[in-house]
Order: sequence, then C-alpha cells, then structure tokens
Amino acid sequence: MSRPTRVEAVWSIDDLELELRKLPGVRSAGFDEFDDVLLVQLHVVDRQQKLDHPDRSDQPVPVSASRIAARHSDRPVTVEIVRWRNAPPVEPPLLAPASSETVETAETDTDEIAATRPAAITGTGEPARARLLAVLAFPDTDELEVHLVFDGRRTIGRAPVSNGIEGAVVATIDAVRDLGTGIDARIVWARAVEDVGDGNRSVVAVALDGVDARSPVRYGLSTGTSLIDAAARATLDALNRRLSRAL
Amino acid sequence: MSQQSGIARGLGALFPGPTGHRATDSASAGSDAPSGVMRMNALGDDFASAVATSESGIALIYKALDALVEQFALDDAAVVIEEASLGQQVFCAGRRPLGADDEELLVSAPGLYTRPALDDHTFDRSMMLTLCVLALRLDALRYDAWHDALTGLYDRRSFDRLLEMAVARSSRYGWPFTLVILDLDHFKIINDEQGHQAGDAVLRDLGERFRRALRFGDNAGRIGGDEFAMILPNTEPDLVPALLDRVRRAEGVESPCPGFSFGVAQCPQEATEFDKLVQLADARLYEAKQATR
Repeated sequence: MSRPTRVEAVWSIDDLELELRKLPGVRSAGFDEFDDVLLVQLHVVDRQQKLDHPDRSDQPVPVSASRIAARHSDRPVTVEIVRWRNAPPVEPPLLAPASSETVETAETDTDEIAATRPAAITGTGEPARARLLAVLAFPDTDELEVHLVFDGRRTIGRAPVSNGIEGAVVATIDAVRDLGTGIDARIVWARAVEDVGDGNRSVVAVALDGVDARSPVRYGLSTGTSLIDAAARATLDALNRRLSRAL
Repeated sequence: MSQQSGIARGLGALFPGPTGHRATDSASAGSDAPSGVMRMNALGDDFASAVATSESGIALIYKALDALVEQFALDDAAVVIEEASLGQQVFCAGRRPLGADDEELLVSAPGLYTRPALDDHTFDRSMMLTLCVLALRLDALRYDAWHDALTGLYDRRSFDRLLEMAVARSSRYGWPFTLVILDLDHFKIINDEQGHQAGDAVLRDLGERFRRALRFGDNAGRIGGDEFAMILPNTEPDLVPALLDRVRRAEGVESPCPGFSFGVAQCPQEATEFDKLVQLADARLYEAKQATR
C-alpha cells in the first residue's frame, strides 16, 4: 500500500464528510483528487439502516451523496459507491482449510456516478464465515474472552483463563453458540502440539464432539500467536464445515 | 492491518520521542522515565482540549491518524469507531479511499489498526479510541445543533449567524448578496385539513427542493414554522424568480411543490444592517402575501 496523502481542499471537507457519514449505511468515506476533480468514495453496508435522519433514509445513497457533495464543492465531483453485501451461500468446502483462520468475506459491487475509476474492491466469491476478532486474557480476574464477528454481529465467549487452552476452546464454543448456530459442541480434549512462543509458532489440536451426528468427534488443528489463540482457531477449524452450513 | 492488543499506555506515542520513532514505554520504564510520562499526559491533555474546542472532530481524528503514520513511519493507520448515532465508521489516515487490502477494516471491531503492527506498549490505544469517539460525537451534536431536524436546513439560530457574517463581509469587502424570505401559502389549511404529518411532509419536501436546487455558496434555512430564508451571494434580485422556479421544478421530489410568496432585500445596495435587511425583505413578503389573497 502506498503511503496515504492528505487531501488538500480550499473548502471545508470536514462538513462534507460528516454529512456523507450520516447517510444510511455509510461506513467509510475516502477522498482523492485527480486533475480538478474530487473523488469521493463511500463504502456502504446495505443492511445497516440509520435512524437519525429518517427523512433521508428513503433516498438512494448515490443520489443523496452526489447532491451533498455538489452542495459542498465548487468543482467537479465524482462519487463512487462501493456496496457491501454478504456473499451468496455456496456449498461447504469438502475439506477444511489448512489454516483455521476464518475470514468473513463480502461481495461488493460498485454503483458509480460518472466515476472514472474502477471499483476499489472486488468480491471473492467465498462464503461468509464467522471471523475470530480477538482472544483476550485477563489473568488478574481469571477471565478469558473470545470475540467473534459474523455479519456485523459480535459475540463474546468467556471462560476462566486458568483453564488454559481448554478454557479457550470452551470460550470459543460459547461465542459460536451465541451466534445462534445451534451447534452444541463439547470439548473432548485439547493439546498443545508445539509452543515455541515466537509469533505464529504455537500449535494446538482439539477434539470436539456434538458437532455432527455423522462424525462423533471432530478434530481441529491450527497455529496461533499464542496457545490460547491457537486453541480458539483450532476450535473454529474443528467446527468449520458445520459452521459454514449453520451460518 | 493489525489491531493493538492489551491496555496501552500513552497518547504521547503519536508524537516524536526524543531519541527515535518509538515513544518511551512508560509501563516498562516506570519511574525511570518520568519525563516520558509527563510528556504523554501533556499531549493527552492537548488532544482532549483540542477535541473540546475544535470545530471539526473529523479533522482531529485524521490529524491523530496522520501523526501516528508520520511518527512511526507506518504505511497506514485506521480507526474503527462504533457510535450510537452514526453506526460503525472507518477512518483511514490521509482520508484516502479504501483499497483492496482494506476489506477487513469494514468488518473489524472498534479499535486502532496500523500497518505494520505496533507493539502494544507504545501508546494508549483505548484513550485514542475514546477521544476519536468523543470527537465524532461532538461533530454530530454540533451538526444537529445547527440544523433543523425536520428539513435538514439551517435552523433560525444558525441562519441568523450566517446572515450576520454575510452582512459583515458585505460591509467589509463589498460583497453583495440578496436575502430572500419565503413563506408558504395556505399552509394552515394543509395542517388543518390533512393533519400535521401532511404538513411536515410538505416542509420536508420543500427543504429537499432547496437542497437540490440551490448553488454552491447559497444558504437556506427554516426560520419559522412555514417560513424559509436564503442568502444568495452575488445574485441580483431580478434573478431570484428564476432560481425559485428551479426550486419548484427540482427533480426527484415526488410531491408537488407548495405555493409560496417571497420578499427580497439586497445588501449592501438597499440595507447594510441585519435588522433593516430583514425588515425590508419581510415587508416585501407581506406585500406579496397580500397580493395572493
């Protein structure tokens, strides 16, 4: 990525940005310049409706954004809308990925108004997945938290940090359950395979039951930045195929 | 980009340390680095003070991100904020558009993200995040304080201030403008016969027409129940009917434009004081109103 450059403008771009960010679903606003044209790029999440400006909620974002930009600028403006939608459901993968790190993907399309640049982001076509946001340990209160996100919704699973990697597995299952998946997995065992303590060198294997009736025990294996991180990822690895169907 | 984890320590890392890119790790330095701690506290106070006094919270958020990039020679920095009235928002250093590498930002949890990752001892991530949320919230409050909730136009107070500034600029630099005061015809009948919701819809649609038809530099406000006003720089009064015709014909508003009467006054040609200007436009509006009855 190139180093960002600051957009210089003789008029207040702050007011423009604030007003654009008030439009329904706008999650990010970016600005660029070429020749004498100001490029405004908005990333819009369709299903996120904002209620603070109900009078504008029925207006298409491209129309509203163009009008606002034109009102704030004394020079030509290009408004590029990048829409984010969840990818359509696809068949679950036959094999679990080598790494258990799951990434939520989003399909995008652009709805450009007189735009002269291609879309900044292209869809990947992969199924939406729950994504591991963080594994946090609080030794002073003996708490361990596993944070997941799926479709803009975050869940947090908790367990005693003193339970080590088993606690991380339980907390991950707890967070998955809160996503409303209906998966009622239980830990059979969890083992540290390797713990070099150097970046991504911790490796954990887990075995879960209650994941799938056809396969009483599901196994997961993953690297991680720490043992508990690897344990959380290994748990998602074990749940992967069932999870992709449930979500 | 990677998010800093753990409780971080000082906003001072946003700014250059005395010996290098990394600011003093106050947690590990402990009492050996009192100057570093003081420096962080002072800068934190400065940032908090700037948030409270700056007219633009958004500008402050970008300033903080740009300082972070500059200080640590980062490729990029971004902050993801979740604010009740604005939802989840992503801010990138340099106000740049998002690229293909930034997909994760849009689904990331609130936090500060940098590329490459900084260790979590370098600055107070939670404080910076809190201040960014505060700056954004103040922006939203300022916006709401200056705008009419129904129409989205300036409200009476902010329009009066704009008019005062326009008058001052006109007398100082000789910049002419025309003040237009506009009042809906028979609005009471709409309210009485169709209800206040219908009346509100009429007002809202008219505000929308103004937003679509007015030019860059023109300002419109709702200064009373069904009374609107406009400041039109460098506009001769005889051009006002054409502009209002554009308001009537504004595209994209489905409901028919309500009838209205208007009065104009020119500054500095006809009046150079706020009150006289308003009185003159108001008197002409009254005359026009009488003509419709």
